[in-house]
Amino acid sequence: MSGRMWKPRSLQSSYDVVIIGAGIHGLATAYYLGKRHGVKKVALLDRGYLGGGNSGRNTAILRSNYRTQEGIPFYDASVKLYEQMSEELGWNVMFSQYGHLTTAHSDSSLVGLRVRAENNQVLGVDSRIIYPDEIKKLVPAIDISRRARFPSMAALYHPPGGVIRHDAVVWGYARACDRMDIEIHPYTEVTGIRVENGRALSVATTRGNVAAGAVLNVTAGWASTISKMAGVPLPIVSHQLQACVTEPLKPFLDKVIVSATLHVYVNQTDKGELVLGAEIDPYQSYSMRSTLPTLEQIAGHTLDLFPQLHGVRILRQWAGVCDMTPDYAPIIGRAEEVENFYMDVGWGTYGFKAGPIAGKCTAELIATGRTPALIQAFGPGRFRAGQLIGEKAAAAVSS
Amino acid sequence: MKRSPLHRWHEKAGATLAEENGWYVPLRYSSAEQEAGAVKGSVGICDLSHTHEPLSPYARFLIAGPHTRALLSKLTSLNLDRNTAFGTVAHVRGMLLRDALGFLVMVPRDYAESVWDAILQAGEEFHITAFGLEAHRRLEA
Repeated sequence: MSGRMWKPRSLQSSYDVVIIGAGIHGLATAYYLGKRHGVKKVALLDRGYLGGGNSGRNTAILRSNYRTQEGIPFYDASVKLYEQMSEELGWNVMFSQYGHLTTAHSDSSLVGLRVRAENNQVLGVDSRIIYPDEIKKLVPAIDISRRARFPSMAALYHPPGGVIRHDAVVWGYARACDRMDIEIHPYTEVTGIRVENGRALSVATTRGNVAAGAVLNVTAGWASTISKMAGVPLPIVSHQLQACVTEPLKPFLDKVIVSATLHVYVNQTDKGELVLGAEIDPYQSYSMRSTLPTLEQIAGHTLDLFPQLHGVRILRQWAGVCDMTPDYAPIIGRAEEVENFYMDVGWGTYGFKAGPIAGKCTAELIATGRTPALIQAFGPGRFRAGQLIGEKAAAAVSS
Repeated sequence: MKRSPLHRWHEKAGATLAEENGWYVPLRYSSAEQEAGAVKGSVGICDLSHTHEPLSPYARFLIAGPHTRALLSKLTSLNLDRNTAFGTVAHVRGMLLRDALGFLVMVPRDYAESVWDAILQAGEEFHITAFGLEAHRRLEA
């Protein structure tokens, strides 16, 4: 293979679809617009480098063991697209589908996991409750002794879960988009959206104005600010989510371990580093700065699960900004206030794992005007209608 | 031995109980033949709480017979044409699953008795019958 993954191109004055945000959701939408619907006069605009937002900051965990009848089939469809992605894109995205465990450390969290296990099974997702002896077999390094401050009583075991190389997903989609002559414009910040007579007409960027047949807001972290440019208010607050990575260790962990009680998730990369993630910071912020209290919390909770890691050093710590909605479910659909203005936002801490299916459904919505069944419940009108989704119990502490 | 959340109801109703896979289960209330006949003629309800994950948070009932849909539409606004539907049944959040014989109702164990009673009450106009596992096996055969 030679040459670039995608070509720099000059910004044109008009496109059928302008996508604000060239992360995984934007790229997936562009890919499916071109691939399934033949819409190729598409520009992806990003104020930074490709995949430099949450697509490159998440902990790359994939799973579908959610709780609701809206969430479970949706994430299941996404995991299935990830399973086929290497073949579909002709590009190895390194999906290690080695299994995912959510541990329970109290009766109440165990009840929550049991509900998820049942709901998953009813909807055909492989997920079941296992007990300490089986946890120990799957994860010999974990401390399940009664000595632990919060002993693991049981776990929700989800074999199809795992981790993927998130950068590879971005690059694979970018290459595939470029081959369809879909344009990728990094370092092109959107500064305004022109709306006339209730219709989005063009976007202003740091490289000039661009007319658009449709505008899609698919940003993460700044979704509400972009949306405000079009006069569309969103019920979103933004919080930081932090993660860190340790020095490489001999391979000892081949499952994703998540603990809601301890607010931590752990997996070991192919290089041997441990990726450790936290719950969102408790206060709102756009700063993307890592903090010592969060690092201490992550480290302490990781040691509750794996006390033998006490001497391990942290290599890097970072943060991303997450757009939290009131019901911990995303907002996908057409704006009610402005024609031609679409959104796929509000992804909180679970956006990466939903990228392919969200892109596929959003592309279908833009190209055909029909809302696919999988995203019907996620429309922006649900907040006014009082039809919230209730995914918090399974979406939080999940990356 | 594990007990269904409806164990007391079964006892009060004079069920013949037996042990099966670590559970007390109701085999019959009157006779299997009579119960199966009543289900086929109108509608019946059977406690299948023992048939899924041990220690499940859900109780599980089967509603079967020609008046199943008429009965359920008195208790829920869920779409009965779907294979699975999540939502409220007799004011309790749970789910409905389509089954070869009718519909499975899954509700949290703590609410099992009140939902069971609500179904029986709503089913009075159809002369609903509680049926045991023997009748269930006959109907499945």
